[in-house]
Amino acid sequence: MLLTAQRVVSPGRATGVNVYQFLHGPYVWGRVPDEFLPDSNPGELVGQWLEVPPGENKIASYLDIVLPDETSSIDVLQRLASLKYVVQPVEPQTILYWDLCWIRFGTTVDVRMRATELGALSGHILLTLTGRAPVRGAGQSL
Amino acid sequence: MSIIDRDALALRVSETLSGRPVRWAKNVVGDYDGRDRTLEVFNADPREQRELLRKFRLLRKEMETAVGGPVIVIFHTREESARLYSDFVTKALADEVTGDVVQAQRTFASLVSVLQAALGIDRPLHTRATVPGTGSTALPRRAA
Repeated sequence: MLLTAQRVVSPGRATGVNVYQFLHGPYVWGRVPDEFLPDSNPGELVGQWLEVPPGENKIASYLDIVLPDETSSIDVLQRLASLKYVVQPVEPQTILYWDLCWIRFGTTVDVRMRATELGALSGHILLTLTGRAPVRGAGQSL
Repeated sequence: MSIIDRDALALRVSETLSGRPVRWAKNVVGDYDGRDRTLEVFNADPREQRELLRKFRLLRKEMETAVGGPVIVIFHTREESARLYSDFVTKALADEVTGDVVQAQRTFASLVSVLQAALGIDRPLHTRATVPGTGSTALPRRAA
């Protein structure tokens, strides 16, 4: 499974966070294989929650999390909530393996805001998955 | 000690334990010394509990001074947290992240006019038109 959150800015300067969910299938791994990483194959898109309609938006920050499809939902939520305590985003882009997960975080914001932005993007995914996200504009979800 | 102070202490423990939901025990079965000083920690699987106790030790003395006696910690595994306390756990995790979501939204709104750099340009994606799939067919077939 790939969970992605992107903070985007539209050409008209509307901002928002778009969340996407992809599935890989029932695979088991000890460490995320390269062919499951987003640049190789993100998987099948099964859900998208859009605050700003995509197409020509600038991506200001993003968070990608790859984890097994079979991961329990409570574990997914706890990992999302714990992410900011696990990752120290000193660099503009951070990539790491965390147990069975793979994390990639990139942002254009200042170093002082990076931890908050990481928490915000993982928070958006968490709130979306729990049905609490304030989705604005056109939206589509499962 | 007021309820607000006790809740603030529980929140500090939660932050120390990487954002796990924490609360003072409610409706604990049985009567024992320290019932009102019992902390429940959720989403703590057995393999993590030793490490969590190590982190908690940094706060223990301060906590015990504040609540007037030894603090008892009860761990709930992820499975039991989901089975018995899912409403509380889900809400606590949502509350945990809401602060960052709101703060980043505000900060970003003030930065957007000066945003020059972009990491990329997005494009529309589409889900399958018929029934949703269960995974990518492009990946090598190595079933679990």
